[in-house]
Amino acid sequence: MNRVCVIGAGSTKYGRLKEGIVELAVNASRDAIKSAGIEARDVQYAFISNVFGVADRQVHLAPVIMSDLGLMNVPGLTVESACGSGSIAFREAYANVAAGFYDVVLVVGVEKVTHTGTARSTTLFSYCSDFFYEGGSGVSFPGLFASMARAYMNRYGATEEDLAMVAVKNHEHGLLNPKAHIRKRITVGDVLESPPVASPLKLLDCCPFSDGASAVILASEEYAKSHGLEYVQVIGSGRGASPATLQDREDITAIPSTRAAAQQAFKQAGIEPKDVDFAEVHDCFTIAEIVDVEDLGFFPKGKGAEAVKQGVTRLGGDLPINPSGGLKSKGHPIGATGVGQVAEVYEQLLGRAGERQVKGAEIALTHNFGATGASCAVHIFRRV
Amino acid sequence: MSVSREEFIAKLNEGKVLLYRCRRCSNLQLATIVFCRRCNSDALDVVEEKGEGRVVTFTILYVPPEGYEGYAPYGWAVVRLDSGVNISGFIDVKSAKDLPLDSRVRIVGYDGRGIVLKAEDGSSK
Ligand SMILES: CC(C)(COP(=O)(O)OP(=O)(O)OC[C@H]1O[C@@H](n2cnc3c(N)ncnc32)[C@H](O)[C@@H]1OP(=O)(O)O)[C@@H](O)C(=O)NCCC(=O)NCCS
Ligand SMILES: [Zn+2]
Repeated sequence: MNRVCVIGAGSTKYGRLKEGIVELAVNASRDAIKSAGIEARDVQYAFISNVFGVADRQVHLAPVIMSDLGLMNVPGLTVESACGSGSIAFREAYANVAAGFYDVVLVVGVEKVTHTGTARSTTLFSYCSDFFYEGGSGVSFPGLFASMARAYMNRYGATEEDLAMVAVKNHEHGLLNPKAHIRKRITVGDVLESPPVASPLKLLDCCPFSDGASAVILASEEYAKSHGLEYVQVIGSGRGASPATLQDREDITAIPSTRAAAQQAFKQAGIEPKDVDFAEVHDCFTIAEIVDVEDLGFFPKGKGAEAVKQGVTRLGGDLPINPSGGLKSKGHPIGATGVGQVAEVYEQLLGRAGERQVKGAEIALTHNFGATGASCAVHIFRRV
Repeated sequence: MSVSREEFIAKLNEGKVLLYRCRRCSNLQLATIVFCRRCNSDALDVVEEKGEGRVVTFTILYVPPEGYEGYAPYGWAVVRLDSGVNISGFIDVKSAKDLPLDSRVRIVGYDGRGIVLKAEDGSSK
């Protein structure tokens, strides 16, 4: 296998945006290409990560995006794995570069949904579940994670206040990120008093519906070196799967795909969880971050809430989690999210993250999953 | 014999759940799954189970998807059937207090709301 690295990254702002799906994807891709210091024509292949193109009346995204980048002869492919599409597209790009099929590959993730409104977006997102048992029986994604939260709180004694601390922390981080969707300081009280969405989760336990795009450029390390490019190394890549439904999980308070993907990525990287300096994890809901940091091996099962309470996972703590603001504050344009995590890691490891810089970070991890964790990818990166 | 989704739904409408029992390893699973999840055999016998069990976890939804506006707030629950097989569905409870974990529920049908559950003690509508 060839060694693979990330040579460039770009992101639009996340939020309720006026641009359409194609313009967002093209802007993020242009910025990634420019940051890489390559010519657009050096890109040999593209993976597009997107779920609801149909909501903005555009599917078959690759040729449209590539044509607007002036790259009408460069082929591409859309990857759809619900909220995990971005990291899974990244994984496919990684595999293609590692296998030597291509030297330079663009991964661009994009989503455009906010124009559809709350009820429509809630419905569209529910199509990411096993619809017969879940979405088609009335449950939304907040409802699925609320069901995990109730089981978790019942088993481990975590409280609504504990969950709220995750939102407070990630909003603090997001305040430092100019591209974040929701930039607002909040308190535990604000979270507890926010309107219920799906009990026990409330508005401020949830990520928002966001529009946005993120792009990164992967290259073989040999290519990056021989062209004198700046880069961060991809040192581990893992994939995992879980039963599609919550009803089929042996343990509703854990996500098996996270564990499998993390184990593979750590093994390949030859490191352990304690070697990671910071991580971007899939905090679509406050409960998710607590479960993630346990499944990734950062904290023992049942202790994820303790870590956030003690400030371990804040910027400046021993293991900052979601310095970008995470899905909670930075936002969750679902096709873009996993790619945006890699963009954040690229900025951080090159020391370009501004006010939210994790000082001295050398090793970072990204974790992103689809639906309730039915699909997952974990990647580990190192500064050179 | 293999069960179609249509037959599976018809039984839900009678308050019953079709399961497969693996001939090789005796594993029980919902009859929407075509190979044994434990041993991968497809030698499966159809078993009919009364759709009754206990609440494993649940939520009360206040922000509903399209088509459920008229019911909100309402519940959705994961249920462990008496056979040990899990299923989930819509349940018309208005408050978390009305659906203690481990309380008994049963399947009452399948309609526009999906798989419909009912709390057994009659504390919910
Ligand atoms: C929580 C939720 C129901 C709110 O619905 P919405 O359509 O985004 O809410 P609205 O557009 O009515 O927003 C109302 C206000 O709350 C703010 N807001 C919305 N969602 C928010 C969130 N998650 N956190 C903080 N503030 C939020 C909006 O910015 C808006 O503020 P403003 O009036 O000052 O502009 C919705 O965001 C949601 O379902 N989120 C989860 C998305 C999801 O499931 N993703 C997949 C994860 S696997
Ligand atoms: Zn078997």
